Amino acid sequence: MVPSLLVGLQRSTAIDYDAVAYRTAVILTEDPGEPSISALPGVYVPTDATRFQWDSKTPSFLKNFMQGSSALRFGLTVSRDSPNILSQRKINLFFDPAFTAEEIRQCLIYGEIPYGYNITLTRLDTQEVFTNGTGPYPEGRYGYIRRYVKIKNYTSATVTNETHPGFNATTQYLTPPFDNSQYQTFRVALDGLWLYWDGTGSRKYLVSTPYVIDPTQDNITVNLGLEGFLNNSHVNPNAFTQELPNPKVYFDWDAWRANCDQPGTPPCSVLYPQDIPPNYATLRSIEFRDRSDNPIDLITAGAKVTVSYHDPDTADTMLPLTDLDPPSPVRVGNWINLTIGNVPQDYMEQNKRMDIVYTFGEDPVVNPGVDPGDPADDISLYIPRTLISGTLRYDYNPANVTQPALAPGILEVAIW
Amino acid sequence: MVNSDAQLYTMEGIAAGVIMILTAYLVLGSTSVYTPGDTHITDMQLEQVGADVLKIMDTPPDLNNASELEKIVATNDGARFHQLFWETYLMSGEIAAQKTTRTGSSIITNATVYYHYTDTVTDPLNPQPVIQGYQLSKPLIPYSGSEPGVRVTRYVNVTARNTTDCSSCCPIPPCDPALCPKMPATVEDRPQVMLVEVFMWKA
Repeated sequence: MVPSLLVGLQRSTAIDYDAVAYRTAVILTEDPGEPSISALPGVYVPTDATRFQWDSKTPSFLKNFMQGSSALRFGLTVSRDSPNILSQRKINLFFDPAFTAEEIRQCLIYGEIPYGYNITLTRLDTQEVFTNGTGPYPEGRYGYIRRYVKIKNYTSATVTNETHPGFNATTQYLTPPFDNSQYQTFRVALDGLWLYWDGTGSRKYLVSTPYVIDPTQDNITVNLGLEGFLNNSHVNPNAFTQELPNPKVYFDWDAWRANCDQPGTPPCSVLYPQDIPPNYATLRSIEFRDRSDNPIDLITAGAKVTVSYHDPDTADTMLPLTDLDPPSPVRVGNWINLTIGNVPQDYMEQNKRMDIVYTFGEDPVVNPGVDPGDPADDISLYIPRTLISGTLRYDYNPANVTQPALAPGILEVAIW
Repeated sequence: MVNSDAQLYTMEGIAAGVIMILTAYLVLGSTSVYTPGDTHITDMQLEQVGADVLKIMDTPPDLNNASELEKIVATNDGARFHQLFWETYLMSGEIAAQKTTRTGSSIITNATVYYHYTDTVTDPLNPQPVIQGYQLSKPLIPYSGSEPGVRVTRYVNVTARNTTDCSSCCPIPPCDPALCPKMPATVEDRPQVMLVEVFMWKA
């Protein structure tokens, strides 16, 4: 009799699914997660096995980490002080399908009951949808909450001859003393003094976390359009029918001559009046250098760096970094797209500076034998094939960098 | 001297023990009581949603722009407020997850702005601080007084009144600032914090 009395008591308890959904949404939208480093942007904090940003790791690392005694919690805000403002990197990691339902329950939903759940984040500007759940919403009873959030975007800089004519060094190369150096460099400078402090230069306050350009947290992208920055390195795909099967194959002048005069294109004599083979501009290397111009090995340090080389006539290829041997030919219409993420604090904090250095050269090298002072030499021989030169400041100037705008979104949590 | 007195005490002791064990069992067994769901949950959800919408409307998109809500208040643009608050956010139909009836199509909003100014007209010799309010956005259906409603508020930092940027009230340039809705004349042209109050109810 007594046990049946107690069973009746047990039966009368019901789970408040709405409360569980609310709790889950609060963790997602008002908490930066755990482990996390609560420091101002750009302030150096040493990291170790238990003290790091959870979103700086890979899913497989986190899966091992949560098996141990250490606590892992999936919070998505950019910092402790910015509820409802979510980090793109945390969103990408949390919605990674690598995490199982059991792991999501252990590190987000909590409780002993194996709840079913469905978490959906919708970006209102792009209608992009992220979903993580054990299935669609059930027919029966479930708890639900909707939260409105802002999503911090990554930044990017796009450099072309049209947007940044100042980086076109044609005048420099044509003005005595002639600069016929064999290599040309272009830099993109990321300086903690510009990034973490007020961009107007007064340097009185730190840029707040939701708006800061922080290479240690957010991806940095540089899109370099070579159209207009190359000199006489032009291969007109219409006039030049021979395929370049491999970037290692250099320009074949005789083959080009044979195919030059095609109907509908300017004759060879117009394109290249001096009858001089248009040697290639080449990308020699992409390097990272610190304030003292010492090279930084970002990839060994744990940063994520991808370079893609976009050729309008072929598929995109991924480039290896640093020394390109043999050099990769570049031509008009090419784009070099570089993305950096997870830059370690050792290389990026308030007083650190990191430059992305693109070095261009040409192949075959013709300049050393040319005397710029000799009028008998054709001027086009001592103008380098790559005309890009200078340093782009990656900062809060909208003319240089697409700012980290906050995009509205809706987070929905259902629990059953 | 043998009798049954001790037996009675023993039974009493056992009975007391059973009661104690039962009590302990009940106490321990009832620890898994969850908060019962009640009608306030939906009110809480609506209040949370309203507070969230005001918060993200009042979050500037980047370092170079004022927040949507500040622009709306500075230009007194009730139509834009209703479009953003109600249509873009509250009633957003583009939700990818399963359709739900929790925030149905029957939520009515009324927005009011409260501000502070110094009254120098009524008694010029003795100016008095006054708190004044005006309606930013009218409800589609008037409030009958009986529907359950919730109220959310947000203090908005407004740097200037009647800003020349009237792009929100005039989508096709060139815009005539005179056509833009204006704040009441008593709003002083100075940086100030104004209280936006939104009352929401289910009609």
